[in-house]
Amino acid sequence: MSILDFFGRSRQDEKLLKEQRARLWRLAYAWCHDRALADDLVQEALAKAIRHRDQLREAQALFAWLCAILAHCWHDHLRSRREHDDLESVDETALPETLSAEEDVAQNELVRRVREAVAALPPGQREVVTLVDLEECSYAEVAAILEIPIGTVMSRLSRARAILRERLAEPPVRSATVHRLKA
Amino acid sequence: MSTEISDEILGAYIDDELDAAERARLLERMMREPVLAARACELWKLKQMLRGAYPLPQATQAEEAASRRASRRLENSALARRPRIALPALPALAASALLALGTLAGWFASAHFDEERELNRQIAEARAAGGRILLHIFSDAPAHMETALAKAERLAQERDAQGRPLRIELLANGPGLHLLRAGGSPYAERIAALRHYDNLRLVACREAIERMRERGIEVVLLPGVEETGSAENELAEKLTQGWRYIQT
Repeated sequence: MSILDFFGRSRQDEKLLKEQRARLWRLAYAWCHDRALADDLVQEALAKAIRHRDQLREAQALFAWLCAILAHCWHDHLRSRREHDDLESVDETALPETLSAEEDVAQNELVRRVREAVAALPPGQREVVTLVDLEECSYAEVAAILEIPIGTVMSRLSRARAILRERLAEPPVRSATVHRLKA
Repeated sequence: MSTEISDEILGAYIDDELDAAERARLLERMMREPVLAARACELWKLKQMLRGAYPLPQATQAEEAASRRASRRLENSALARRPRIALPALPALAASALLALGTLAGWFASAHFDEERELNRQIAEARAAGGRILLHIFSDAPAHMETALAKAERLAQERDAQGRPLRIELLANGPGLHLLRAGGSPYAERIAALRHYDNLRLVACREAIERMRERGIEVVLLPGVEETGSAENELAEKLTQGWRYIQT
């Protein structure tokens, strides 16, 4: 990828950046639950990162900085969707798309339920809980990435976990009859 | 009786956000209060469930999967249109090449409208910033080469606010160098056609050429292709000068 070449001056850098790209993709997917959209969001974020590379002060902060850019791209997308879609379709696009056969792990019923529960969270809560749990960001890092106070990080996280705990404690329902998953 | 521990504090405990003294106090209480310990355990389990639901994709697998998805979008797209591809007249077009063309077709058909909008936005941006665009290709995937060429052909015909042609540079390095190789590029004719545009430069990275030669690949550049010392320096220099960047 061009961005890797652009930032990566050594083989070690390149490896690191490839890992970071994979992590960004996972985060984007956990936010939008749409693989193609996750591809686009990551690509857009990386292109933006190249254009605004002057803003990066320390190399160690690269991932948090990329996350912040990704969050901007994702918020832009949410805004444009709100402008163009009616309310009904917003609900539908929030559901995870059908899991692809290429992923064994995704066949797992529990994985599907967790993803659906995460997808049903309000975006703000979804962003916080995935940054903390998947990326192991500190609360201070999350606050910086999403440009919100730490108190808001903690309250969103706490609300998100309460909702997830409740949804996942419910007995499993047959998804085919209840949820309309994206093709 | 001690005060109730909130979910926020318990969450901060499992997220390792408490300082040593707070953590010690909480641990001590959990030893005495099984209900509190069970609550913390529940939160921890939830965190593990979330982590398990989103495994990290392998970098290369993720890229391949992205390419496959682009291809699949063609099949699902009601808007699928015939891609603008000149089939290379190669007698031995292997199955893999057909597959690559499929990917390419998908890429074009499905992403066409989004890409068009994005490209228009980038052109408008470039017009506002001196009318200079750097197109960068770092891939020998047919879909990427095709995209780079299509964009170069389109951009070379665009004009700035004063009616002057935009200045375009197509920069190739890494595997993208194949696009500009004589005897190696599947698009030699289209590259030759691009030479008619005075406002477009074709530039190859010398470091990439050397690396390719080290691997025993003979590198002769197509007519009209210039060399630059290193693509990274070229990128840094152009971006510093205010060129707009488009990756393919």
